[in-house]
Amino acid sequence: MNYVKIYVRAVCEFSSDGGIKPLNIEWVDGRKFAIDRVKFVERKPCLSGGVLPRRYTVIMGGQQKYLYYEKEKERWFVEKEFL
Amino acid sequence: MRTILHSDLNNFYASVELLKHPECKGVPVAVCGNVEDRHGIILAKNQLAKSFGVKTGEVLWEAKKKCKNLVTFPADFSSYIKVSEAVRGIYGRFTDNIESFGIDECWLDVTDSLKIFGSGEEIAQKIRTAIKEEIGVTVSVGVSYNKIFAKLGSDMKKPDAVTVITPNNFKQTVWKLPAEDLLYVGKSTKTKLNSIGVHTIGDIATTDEKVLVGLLGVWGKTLYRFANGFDDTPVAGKKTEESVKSIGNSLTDYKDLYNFEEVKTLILLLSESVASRLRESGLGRATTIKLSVTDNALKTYGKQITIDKPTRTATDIAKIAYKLFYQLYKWERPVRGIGVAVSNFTLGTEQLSIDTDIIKDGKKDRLELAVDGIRKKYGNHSLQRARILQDPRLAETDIIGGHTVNPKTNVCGNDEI
Ligand SMILES: [Mg+2]
Repeated sequence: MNYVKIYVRAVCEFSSDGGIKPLNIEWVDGRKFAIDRVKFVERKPCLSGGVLPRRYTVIMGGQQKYLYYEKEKERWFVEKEFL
Repeated sequence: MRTILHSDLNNFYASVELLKHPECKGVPVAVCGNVEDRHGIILAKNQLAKSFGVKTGEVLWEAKKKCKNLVTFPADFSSYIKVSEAVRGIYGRFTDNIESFGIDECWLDVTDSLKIFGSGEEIAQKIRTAIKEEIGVTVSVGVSYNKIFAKLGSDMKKPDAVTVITPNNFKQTVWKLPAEDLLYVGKSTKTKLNSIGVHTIGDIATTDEKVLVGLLGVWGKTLYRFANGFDDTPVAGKKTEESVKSIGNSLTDYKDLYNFEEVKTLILLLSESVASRLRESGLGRATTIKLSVTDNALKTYGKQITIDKPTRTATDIAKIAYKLFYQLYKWERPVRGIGVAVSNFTLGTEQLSIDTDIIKDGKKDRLELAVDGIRKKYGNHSLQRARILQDPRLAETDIIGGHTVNPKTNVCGNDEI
């Protein structure tokens, strides 16, 4: 199975003691999704390829999703299965 | 008894490329100095490419002949360094005594961490799992009571494995290995050992130490200690920061030097070894050159300089080191040891300064690359500078092959990555 990255626009909060927390993301078609909760943040390899991305396990619309942060380019992506 | 780990990232460059290109899993992959050039050199390959007979150091077209579907990626050192540093971060959770050996290998002294994290084997398993899960590459770890056996252990089972070598099992495991598996045993040492019927590490261990000294000099004593597990070289933790980022070589315990001409010869020899390793590393050219001098009272002096025109030739490095020596050393005492190190690498990107004489510079570079080639093929003694031949003891020193008179000094690996 192959995966592709979909880069998304994100609104984030910078905490005063460091760290970034995504508040909502905007899909390519303009729909916005609020992030209800960040469950944990880890360094994890992703399926679509990349060196040392940071993975946020988040709850969005009642569902658990992965959101990745790419440090070099300071951008966010989600992964989608690609057939 | 100490507990020492040697951790070796498996097929490191190729593994990082697979992290970046997961669609290539299950495909033979190689990392090349220059993928556009058919004569580019293979720097690393994955397991699959290895099974086709693709070898590190061979030219791209040779590799393609053996493996038609070989996928090649250009070397991306900044990613390799990033991953290497992240891996070190994981080691750092278990000990602060970490010594790098090239970009993909480290020794860890975990003796003082056993009470907190469990046995050496348990720590090794924790490290192996964390690296795989968090970063997505694999390591082989050797666990033992000295650096030499730990390194041999990391080579025994791979990828993604832990091997434990204890005082009770080393005779059954380590002793069966060929002599050349031992750290710093190069081609010429191997030939000499074989000539007296010594083929395995066990043979070295059970040969009379005096015989080995007769054959190899001081070096024979060291090998005897290595093979018997007597090595007590400490993990040089605090120096690590520098050794990842610099390539250096030093020679001490040699003899006292009384004049600049003798020093010049030694600097040249060291510069050759450093330049050759720099070229092999694929790190590009060096911008900073550092010289250290130890006098016969064992006081050490050091000085470094950053140059405008990065270099990777021995001639340039030596010239700058001569200058540094001249500025640094006032000859209050004779010289006992010299070290030459380079750092601040261009990482493969070429930047030409306005006054660079491209043709002349290219010539120097090509000349030294040709010398590398000849030495690789016919041994490090096949071609030597006249200045070095004047000193028979220096001429005997196989410094490029990886050992110096004093193997405790900062010798970096020539192992393949
Ligand atoms: Mg390795």
